[in-house]
Amino acid sequence: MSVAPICIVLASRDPCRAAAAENLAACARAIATHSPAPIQAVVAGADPSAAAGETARHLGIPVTALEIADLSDPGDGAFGAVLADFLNRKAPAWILMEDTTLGRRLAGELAVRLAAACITGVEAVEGDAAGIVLTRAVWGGKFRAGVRATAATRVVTVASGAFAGRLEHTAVPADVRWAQGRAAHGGRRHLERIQAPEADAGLSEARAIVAAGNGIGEPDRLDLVRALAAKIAGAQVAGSRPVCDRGWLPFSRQVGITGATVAPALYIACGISGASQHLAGMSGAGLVVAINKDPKAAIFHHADIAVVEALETFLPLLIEACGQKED
Amino acid sequence: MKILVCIKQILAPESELASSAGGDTVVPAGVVERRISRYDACALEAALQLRERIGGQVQVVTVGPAEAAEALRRALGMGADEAVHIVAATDIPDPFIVAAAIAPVAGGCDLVLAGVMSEDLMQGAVGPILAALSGRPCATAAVALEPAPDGSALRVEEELEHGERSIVALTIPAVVTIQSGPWTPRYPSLSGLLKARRQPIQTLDPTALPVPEPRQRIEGLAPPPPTRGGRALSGSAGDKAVQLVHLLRQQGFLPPGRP
Ligand SMILES: Cc1cc2nc3c(=O)[nH]c(=O)nc-3n(C[C@H](O)[C@H](O)[C@H](O)COP(=O)(O)OP(=O)(O)OC[C@H]3O[C@@H](n4cnc5c(N)ncnc54)[C@H](O)[C@@H]3O)c2cc1C
Repeated sequence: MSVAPICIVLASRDPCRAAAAENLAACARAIATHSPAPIQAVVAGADPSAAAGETARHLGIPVTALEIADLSDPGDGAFGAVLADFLNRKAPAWILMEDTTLGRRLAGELAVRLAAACITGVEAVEGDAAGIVLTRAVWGGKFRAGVRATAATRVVTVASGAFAGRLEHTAVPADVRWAQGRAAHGGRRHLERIQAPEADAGLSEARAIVAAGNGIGEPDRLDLVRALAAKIAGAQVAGSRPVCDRGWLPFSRQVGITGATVAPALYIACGISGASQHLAGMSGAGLVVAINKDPKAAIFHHADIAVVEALETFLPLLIEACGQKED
Repeated sequence: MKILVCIKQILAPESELASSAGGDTVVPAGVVERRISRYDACALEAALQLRERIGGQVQVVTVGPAEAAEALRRALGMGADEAVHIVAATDIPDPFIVAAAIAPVAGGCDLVLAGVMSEDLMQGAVGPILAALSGRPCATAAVALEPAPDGSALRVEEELEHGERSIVALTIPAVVTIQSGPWTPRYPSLSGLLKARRQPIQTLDPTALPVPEPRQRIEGLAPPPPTRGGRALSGSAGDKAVQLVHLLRQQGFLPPGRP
């Protein structure tokens, strides 16, 4: 009997397809190291051939271009239906997708249609005698859980960038097959896409960022964050999602997967817990300083300098110390 | 429109928590707060706002242990019309079992709302699984909902990555998961809370329902591996401030101290 494959799923319209493909392929290889299986990809969309060719050359694995008739966008209901049909015929052991809004929704749908496990936001893969354990963040990143699938088919979404950089490139001729499918939209029709508002240029170019999290507690405390930023040359103020949700800072200052990706030389996280959705936007920063009153906060695992203090006591002292001479 | 909102009571992430002895869940390790998961509270707020605009009824449902009834009481206090408690011995981490338990309740509703994910397990799976189990269209990470005047469809704005959005049309009945942002969950009024104390909560015994085979399980919980040095500054708050300023000066982020 042939070994059930690991199947990477990509949407041909994904603007970050190359990075996503590498991340998924690296995750697939990590799984295959522990439990050998052939790795293949499917690139699905209205007109997937070019993207499928690129992916096959880039990853050096067999790729199927799955053409979906009358598809306006991967967000249309037909996408999941055609994909489920296709995957049912392939009978893969693993289906890997990016951990995006689209990927997480499809994961649930495919898991039901394929009687599979559904494991989202996977950050690492480990093997043991009994098989494979996938690691994912829980409780806002305070803990990582090892999850074992008990179903024979597993649909997995892979946290963006979690496996990047571990791919060994191979130079093989592109192996592209072709498949076609059609389905009704199943009550979900895509209407339009709205592009992101222009990113705040100030953040992506800032040399330093002082970021406010939910821990600031009240909007007036933003003044402390601003006062600290004013002491640091070239510093900008940013925020986590809850701070921007409340309108305490504009959306253009939100850092994270649904906001801006920043890489300043200095990032000071004030009252930020360290959820992976936030970390994804600032992990490229140079020096990371975290100030948080919870000694167990996840952010301390991702900071160079850890300050366990309450902001309302610490920030005024810090601002004052900025203006003082050293002994 | 009859709207069902799926809510989960969680041990808040900012609480003092530890891994259970069996390593399959997180348990209190000191001061803990139990509350409705943030995104579920947003989903309830979205439902209440829809009811204010177009009329109808809002029902809340939770699958969870006895203490989760508190979350339902709070939801009633916020203004939900009815509450259903599917009582489980413990918190159930398998989204298929949760979705299967909710599916019969969802059957009678036009629209099912849930949080985009729970703050504890962060799977984002119950909504899409429930939709697929019940053959309904699904939208996720919604930041705007616009029902058609005749109630037959719903226009949903979904949040994608880095600020991109997409607009989709769903036929009703449908399932939508709610992202935080546009919805600020209201505080229950005192009169609402008093009324909620007297309102009945319908309890369902899940053993009466067919329980699907579990498809996955948690085997071990640990703090995340550090990605950076995490050098902790010590001393009083003032000492730490002086050390930090020294460090930032050394690295050229602050001008040298004036003599
Ligand atoms: C699809 C999706 C996309 C998302 N995208 C993003 C994104 O782009 N960016 C983003 O940031 N989040 C995003 N999130 C949300 C993310 O999961 C977290 O909920 C969020 O990052 C938490 O923000 P926070 O750390 O500011 O707040 P919390 O998690 O509430 O943490 C507050 C912290 O402040 C500390 N604190 C409290 N009081 C004090 C005090 N007085 N002094 C010092 N410390 C204190 C607490 O100990 C805690 O650690 C997304 C979520 C989803 C589901």
